[in-house]
Amino acid sequence: MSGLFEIDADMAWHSLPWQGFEPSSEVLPRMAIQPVCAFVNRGNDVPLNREYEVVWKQIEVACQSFFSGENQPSNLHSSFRILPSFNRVPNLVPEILFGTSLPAASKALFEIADSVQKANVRKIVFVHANPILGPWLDTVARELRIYSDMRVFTIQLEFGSSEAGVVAEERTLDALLREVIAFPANPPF
Amino acid sequence: MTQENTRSQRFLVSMTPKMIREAARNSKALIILPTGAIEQHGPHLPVGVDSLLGTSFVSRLIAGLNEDEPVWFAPPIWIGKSNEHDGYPGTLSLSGDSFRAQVLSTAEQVKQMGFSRIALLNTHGGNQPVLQTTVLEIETSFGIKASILDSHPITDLDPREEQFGIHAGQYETSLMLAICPDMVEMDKADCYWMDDRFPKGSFAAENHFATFAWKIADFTPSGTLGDATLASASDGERWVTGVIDVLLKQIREKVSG
Repeated sequence: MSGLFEIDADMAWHSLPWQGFEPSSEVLPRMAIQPVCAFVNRGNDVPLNREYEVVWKQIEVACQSFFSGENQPSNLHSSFRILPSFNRVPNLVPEILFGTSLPAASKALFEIADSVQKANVRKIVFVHANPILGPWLDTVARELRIYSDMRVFTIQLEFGSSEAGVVAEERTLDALLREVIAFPANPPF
Repeated sequence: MTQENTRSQRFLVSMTPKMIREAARNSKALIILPTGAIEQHGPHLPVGVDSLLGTSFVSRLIAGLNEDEPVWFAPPIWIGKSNEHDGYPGTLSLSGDSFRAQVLSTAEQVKQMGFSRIALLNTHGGNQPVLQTTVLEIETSFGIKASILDSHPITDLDPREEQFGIHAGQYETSLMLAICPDMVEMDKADCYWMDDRFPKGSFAAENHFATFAWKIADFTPSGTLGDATLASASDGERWVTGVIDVLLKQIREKVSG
């Protein structure tokens, strides 16, 4: 990590010019991935960005898997784009650092999702690795679904699993992301 | 210690709580909070320009700091207040209120960690009015010194470009050619001027006694303001060097005072 901005990410949202998000664009993404990474005090000798590193490592692994071997999406560059990490999560426990209040965090995430929808991208998936944030993200996701009619998904990664490699295959991030891409654009019923 | 380790340990979030406590013991320690934006930058540049520039400035600042200078970086805010780019897809924007909340809460935690000086390194003009009021709030609410670093160097730009080439024009495009040339599509570079479309009279776009609330789309269909076709990597490299020089000068004044 050189600067907390994922500057080299091949599929980064920030690397497209604005016309790439027009409805007629050949590279218009089908979904946005929003990494949600808390900075957490996990003890005197542990860097605060451990969780951030875990989330981005898993995203990197998922991208490698996504773009290699069989079952590649038909158009790789219109499959998804990765947003910058959302780090200003609610300060729900004292160990979370550099967060904000819960209403401020929810409002900011809403506003980013609204920007995504204005960019003609109708699916957004929140990827995180913190059980404490799960209920909050579920609440935001449901409200987004109701108020914006976006398709909203949340994925909680297992903390540490990127190093241990113990995630069952059906639960790997790339498999989950493939499901999101294939999820019907309109409600199934 | 490798150079990479030295660099990463300038970031508060790459440090352990123990290291942060030790850093905060120095009463002159300065925390820099980078703020940027992800918003349209014409047909020839990616939407990440402001945050890419901020990232590059931070890297170069870290390389330019002496090891014993007590300067640390808070986690950047790379999505800013960009509602003036409404209508251009790909722009990610917070409201002024949300942006303010993120800056304020960061400053509050910096204070709780024991630091007493914070400076904002902003690379998006649309953030500036919010930051100008927020630094006052930081000082009155938390009792720490807060300021905004000026990152614009002296340039040899044409006066019209200097005044009105405010977005994706010659200056920003040149900087991008210097730091991220692979992300610049010069064959799509174009030129629009806001003064061509602004009604004659007392009202100005900004920095004036009478202003009007504009959107970028009022002035340019492509999102460019200025003449991007004149951009060059060599100018960009000179100006980036100028940016780092003016920033380092201000930072050194703040940690020595």
